[in-house]
Amino acid sequence: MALLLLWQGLYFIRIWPEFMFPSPFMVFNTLVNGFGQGNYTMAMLNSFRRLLIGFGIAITLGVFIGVLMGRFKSIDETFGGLILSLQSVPSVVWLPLALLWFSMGESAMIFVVVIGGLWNMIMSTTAGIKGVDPLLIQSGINLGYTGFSLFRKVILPAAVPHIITGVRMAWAFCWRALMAAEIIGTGQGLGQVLMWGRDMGNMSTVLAVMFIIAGTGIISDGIVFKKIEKEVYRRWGLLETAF
Amino acid sequence: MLELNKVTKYYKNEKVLDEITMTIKEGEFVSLLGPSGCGKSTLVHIISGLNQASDGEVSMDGRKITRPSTDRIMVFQSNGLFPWLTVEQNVAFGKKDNGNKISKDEVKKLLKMIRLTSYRHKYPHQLSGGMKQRVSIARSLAMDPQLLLMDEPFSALDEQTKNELHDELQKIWMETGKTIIFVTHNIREAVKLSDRVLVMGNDPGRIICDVRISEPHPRSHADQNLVALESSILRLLEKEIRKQKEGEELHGTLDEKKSIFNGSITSLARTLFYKNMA
Ligand SMILES: Nc1ncnc2c1ncn2[C@@H]1O[C@H](COP(=O)(O)OP(=O)(O)OP(=O)(O)O)[C@@H](O)[C@H]1O
Ligand SMILES: [Mg+2]
Repeated sequence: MALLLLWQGLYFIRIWPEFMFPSPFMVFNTLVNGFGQGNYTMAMLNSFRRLLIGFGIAITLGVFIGVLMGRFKSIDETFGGLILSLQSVPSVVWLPLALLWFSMGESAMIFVVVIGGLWNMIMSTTAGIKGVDPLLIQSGINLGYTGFSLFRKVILPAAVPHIITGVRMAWAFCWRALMAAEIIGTGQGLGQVLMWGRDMGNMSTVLAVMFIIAGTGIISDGIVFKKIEKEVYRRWGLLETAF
Repeated sequence: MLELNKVTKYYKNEKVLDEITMTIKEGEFVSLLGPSGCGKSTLVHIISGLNQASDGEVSMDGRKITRPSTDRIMVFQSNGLFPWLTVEQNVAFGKKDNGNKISKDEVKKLLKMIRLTSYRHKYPHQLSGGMKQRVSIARSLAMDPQLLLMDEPFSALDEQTKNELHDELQKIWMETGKTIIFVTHNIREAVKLSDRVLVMGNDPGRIICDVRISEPHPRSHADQNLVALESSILRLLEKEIRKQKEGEELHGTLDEKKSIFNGSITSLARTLFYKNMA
């Protein structure tokens, strides 16, 4: 609220011309119009589709590879370092390569989203599997479980809190990767609307889209993922130590 | 019948168990009592099959023990319950070696036995420490094992809860007739619960004394005879600890198979005192 007032105040002083620094009302109007005409809704749906596909692939693949790395030391030793270094590469960097590999812009963008969440998902899963309390494993063995059933009934469930944290982070990383990819790439997503606003010199569109992007991130993380994560931690009896 | 024959365990080059030999009869309640680090946990893990002896062998009813089995179930100090399962699901979790599942009736009966029927849909994090330990015991009993191995199951609990659980465990033991090996470093607990207390010494871990207690069950912690026995075992242990501090060898360790105590507890306590302090 204070921020809004400050913003309105700055607008009245007119340090910058109006087209470069619109008032909150103008941005609000742009938002309402944008959604009213369905432009923003379409853009959001496009972005969400890419996000959900990419995110889904990232966590599925991430859990799968992470489990392998957590269970087999040799795989972990071979690829662990590589994945750690790959994680520090911003995922948009992969876009040019992806555009060459997949002639379609859409697949390339989804690829970037997958890359955005993948490394982190792998590392969280591996850490979760490796960090399972040995006492639970001993209990499982003593209660008659071995091999795959031990893994499915004891090790994997015990690693769920770590995996959920990984999922939450992967979501945020995928979202960022998507926006970066859309700004550079083509197609009909939020990122493109943002760039279109810039090209037209339409600052209120730019700001409106920024609001949507930030809002979506905050709402999905704060309301959906944080809640799920907290519920899992509570159930697993980790709440006192983690929050 | 459980038999240990010269069970020895090394960690790297350090000997933590030295030729442990003992025989435990079916239905016996035996406590392993000893100072911290004397190898009690290591010994019960070897009996369970979760750990392996470096030398010597363990056998039950003539069959050599080499790996874990649902015939010998461990109850751990920090319970080892699965936090993502409800009380009921935890109790029903086990899978018997013969492939049989645990029946619904069985689970119901056990929940009633530990008086947690109304908590059956709760998760472990919603239970007190004592309740969790009861669930852990019920989960072990559900496997209908021949042998129950309890590694300091109550040492994290407060005095009152501990006493309640002692009474409950005595009742369960009398009802089910299971063989129980109970690890503790609490002398009172050992004396109150067991038919036999195996006192262990340190460096390397070995059995220094085999005390039989013939007082009838159930016993109360206020029993005067038990109190007397308790203090003599305490003296024995103190001597062991002192010896360890001074780094001198106690000559002529007792042959644990030749049980020196029988008869009433008071005379027993006196004998114990005499034999070891002399
Ligand atoms: N995995 C291991 N690797 C190396 N040394 C070990 C290992 N486990 C136990 N030890 C050592 O073996 C000795 C016996 O340990 P153990 O846990 O069996 O003792 P304890 O009698 O159960 O002690 P406490 O009463 O503290 O539980 C200790 O000196 C300990 O340091
Ligand atoms: Mg121990």
